[in-house]
Amino acid sequence: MKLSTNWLKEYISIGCSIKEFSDKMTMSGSKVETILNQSETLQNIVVGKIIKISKHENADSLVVCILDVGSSENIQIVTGATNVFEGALVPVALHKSIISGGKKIKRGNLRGVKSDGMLCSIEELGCTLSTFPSAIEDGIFIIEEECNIGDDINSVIKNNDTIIEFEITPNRIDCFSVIGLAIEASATLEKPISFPPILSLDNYKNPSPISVNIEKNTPCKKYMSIYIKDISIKPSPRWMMDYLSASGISPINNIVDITNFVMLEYGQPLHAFDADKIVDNSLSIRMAKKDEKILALNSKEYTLNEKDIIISDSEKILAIAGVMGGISSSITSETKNILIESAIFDSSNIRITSQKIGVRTESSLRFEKDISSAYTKKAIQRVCKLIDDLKIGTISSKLENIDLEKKNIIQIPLDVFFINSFLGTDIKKEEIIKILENLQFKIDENMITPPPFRIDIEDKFDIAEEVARIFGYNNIPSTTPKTSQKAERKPFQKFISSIHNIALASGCCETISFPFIGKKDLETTKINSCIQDSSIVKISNPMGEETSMLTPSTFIPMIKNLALNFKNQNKQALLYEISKEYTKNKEIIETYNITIGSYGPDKDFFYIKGIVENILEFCNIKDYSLSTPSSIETLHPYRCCEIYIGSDKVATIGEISPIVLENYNLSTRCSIGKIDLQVLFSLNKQKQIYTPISKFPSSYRDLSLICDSHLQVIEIKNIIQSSIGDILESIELFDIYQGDQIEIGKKSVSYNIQMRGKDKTLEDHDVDNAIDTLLKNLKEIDVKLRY
Amino acid sequence: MKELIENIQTQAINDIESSSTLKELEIIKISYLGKKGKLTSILKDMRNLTTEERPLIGKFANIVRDDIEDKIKKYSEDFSKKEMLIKLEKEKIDISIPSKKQKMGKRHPLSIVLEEIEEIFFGMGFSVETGPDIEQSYYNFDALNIGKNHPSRDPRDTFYIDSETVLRSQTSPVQIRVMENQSPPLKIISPGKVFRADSADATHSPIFHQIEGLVIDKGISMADLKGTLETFIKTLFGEDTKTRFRPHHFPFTEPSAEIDISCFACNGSGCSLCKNEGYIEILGAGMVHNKVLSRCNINPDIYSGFAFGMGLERIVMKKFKINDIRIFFENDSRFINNF
Repeated sequence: MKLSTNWLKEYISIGCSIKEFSDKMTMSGSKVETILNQSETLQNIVVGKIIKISKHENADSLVVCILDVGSSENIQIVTGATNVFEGALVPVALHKSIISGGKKIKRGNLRGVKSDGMLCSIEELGCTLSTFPSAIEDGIFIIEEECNIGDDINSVIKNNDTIIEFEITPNRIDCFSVIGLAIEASATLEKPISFPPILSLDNYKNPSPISVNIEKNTPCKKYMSIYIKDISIKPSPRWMMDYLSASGISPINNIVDITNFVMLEYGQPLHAFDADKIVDNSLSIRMAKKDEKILALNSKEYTLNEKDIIISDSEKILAIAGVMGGISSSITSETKNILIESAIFDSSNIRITSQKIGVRTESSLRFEKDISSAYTKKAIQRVCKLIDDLKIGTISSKLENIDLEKKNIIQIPLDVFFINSFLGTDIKKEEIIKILENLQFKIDENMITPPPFRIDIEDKFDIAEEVARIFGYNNIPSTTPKTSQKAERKPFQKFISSIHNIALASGCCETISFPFIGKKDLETTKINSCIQDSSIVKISNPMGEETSMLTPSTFIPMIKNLALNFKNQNKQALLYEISKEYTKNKEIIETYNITIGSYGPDKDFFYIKGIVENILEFCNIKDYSLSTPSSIETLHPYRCCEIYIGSDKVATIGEISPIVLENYNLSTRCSIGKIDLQVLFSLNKQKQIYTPISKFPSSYRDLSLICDSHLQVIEIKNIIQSSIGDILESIELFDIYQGDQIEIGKKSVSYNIQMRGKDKTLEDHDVDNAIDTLLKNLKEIDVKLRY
Repeated sequence: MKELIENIQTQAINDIESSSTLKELEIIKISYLGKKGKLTSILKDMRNLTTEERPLIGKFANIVRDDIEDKIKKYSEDFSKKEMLIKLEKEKIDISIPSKKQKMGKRHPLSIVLEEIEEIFFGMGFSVETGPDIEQSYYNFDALNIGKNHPSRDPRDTFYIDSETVLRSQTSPVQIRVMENQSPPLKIISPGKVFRADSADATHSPIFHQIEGLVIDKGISMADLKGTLETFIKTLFGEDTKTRFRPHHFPFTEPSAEIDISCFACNGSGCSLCKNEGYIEILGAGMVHNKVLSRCNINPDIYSGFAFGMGLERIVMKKFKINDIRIFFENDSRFINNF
């Protein structure tokens, strides 16, 4: 909402600087966004008198003017304008001046002749012909206004308003008006307000020649109209045009301007119809029929339907209610008689219509926000007053009023104790009453009646808010809640913290990715090989196809992250993210994963497997099995595994399939892994009790074994574990060899096996017996001693 | 005889003093004190002495022997020290060669600051609650007193899965779930991802993170809201930070406030970071709307409370002087390694 402070000052004297006023308004709830001082748009432009005009020696189309600009020496300006004459008063942009649009003017040289600045047209002063009818379009503005040589042009063209733009919150649509903000200013500054004069319509008794009818079930709860005849259409007075321009509305003609002026003043949109264009003198407020059309004021044709409220005569639509009028009944220079409309239309209908046809007007902006009917009548009275004062028409009917509104008068008890305990303040009753009265609330016998334009006020909490904001939030003390609660991370949150720490200790950098993906991602990552389309959560109104789903696998964002790092020529990457996967069965399920991705030296499958094992070890999980996933084409089919704890799958690890790598221009091997943290948390067996450590010396044996080259070494490890039993301390696989020394199809695997007695020193024969049993068991899966 | 011993002593001391290696010392030791050494040999002639002379010479010979041994010991200690030094010098390394450090991982800057904020609230007795990203529209809107026609429900603002299910546009639904499932007193914060249909640019992102807080108890006042948030702000941004509470409007709180803090780049004097305002808007807050409490079966005539919310990215951007929100989600490891 742009507020002209000159306009505001007609109703309230602010008694402080604009800056101070703005700060106070911001702190009482009307946030100031910007302050525009009009005179700053035109700088160092003065009134000059043309003393002499002579020909330019090098150009026939230019002349040289000598001007008196009120300083000790006359100046010389070259111009191409043809409407200048000796003795004329003109706006002179001096050396180092600023004209409209922020353009800077400097002394210069025009075809060899010095020019000390520029003479300005009306447009270069930021004004239009409508505000200065004496000006001409192509030429210098010849000043006819009362002024002296050397005067600042701003005072001459009255470019001296300060415009404050306020952010109006949706609950305070009453502040979308000059009066609304004046009332706020009155309460904030504790200054009296004087309301604009209006015309009492009590003495007008004639019925309007235009009959009005609201069709049944049309969402229009109030429709007032008045008939005014013998209109003389002309430009509005200068002050009105200035206020409208300052508020961002272009002046058009006196009648249209008055309806806009009063709308800005009260926040009540108005419309003026050319009454002679209303066929059969009857107006109907009804819903449009399907595909009914109107040629609107902006010269565009709109096709409406049953959801749009319209005003029609017996033949055609005259206006899209609350949004825009039609051309057929618009005010033109020929208009003689008019009907002024002041009505309340349903906010959601107006919003839907305005959105659908893509037209937002000052009127629809207000109706959309559900305005009150507090000023429906006053606005018409104000229009009549202005027409009467300006003597541009004759009010010639009574105020016609169709009122279907259910009156709902709210009264709230004044509860000073509640207000103070709710706010934590100690404000006196008198002060509370004063605040509320300044906001136009009525207080009678401890009962508060909010003013009719404050339809946001419903209960004691609303009253407390009014008191708080005018009292000043910053005057409320600061205290600490007496509530004392024990607070710590919950077990799952602690678990997640530990997982972060393990990933960080392994050298991983944390990423945070968007969970949005598109259909193409499912294909390029081959995640579609293991996830059914029906289990993917889709957004019904996505911003684009590529962000239309929530990722069913955290592999997708991780692969994209690896691709970005590779594209940016980062030599290696080791990334992790703790994030969610989204899938849908009957219900939508969100599961937490840690996902790890890598490329670069040593950052291979086994590096990620190591991190996963560290996490399992942290959870004290020893019994897990590896298996080869059956249907995930994202991964290299011979370099991937799944980890199971019992029947629960907790992790998937693998190299990314070369096909997927190629899709992402990753010309390096990449590995990836993820753990389902919710499953893992449920299986987590973190140690609570310590296992005593043995005091006895250990023994070890190194074994080199020969086995089939396809045998998974975990099988050997499992047999070592079961054969050696509880004296086994550690197994280390320190060499795998395939080559010349070994039979084709076989490999050599070498283990260091360390053993230690829990309650005695192991004798040689204890160790030998254990190894003998081991070798015998290994033989059963065709694993033999190499030496 | 004594003279002979004295000669040997002088000779031996000379030899020791002119020696330069441990090996030489060893030879000297053997040549004087060994089985066939000079001192040992001369003592063999002791039997030719008188019984009076024998103990005297014997005693003298022992003194000389001890003296030589001491001298050798002292010299050999010196020599071994020197030889060790020579040996160590050959092992000299270039200490400026890059270390073999295990590269540590780094947290994402959003996580770093989130954790810092969580710690501050733990210290004030708040616990952390989380909720689903895909939320029923009841929890995201209705329960928060957001009217059926409120613009935030518009599909141009909020992502829908179906008519009843949305991607939460705020983390406030967590507050409703907590109020429904736990009884006051309540003191929680709820951090998490939120989703809004904003096209990405330097300051907007369709996904970002919020941290919201809620306190419900008997007798909670707006003064408590101010005190709590001032403490939080001073802890996060520094003791000198000034705060400014401005009236605002949110459907789920009443009274509502926006909270500005003095710009930490210019300390309130105005700069490019704060767009010359001296203040930066950082939080929204207010007293929980009585209609919200009633919907959660908390009697607003007995209990009151306050709620607040802040955008994590905005805080992190200001804190680390990051000027484009999109960089958080690019996940270039060079960016993350910055922190």
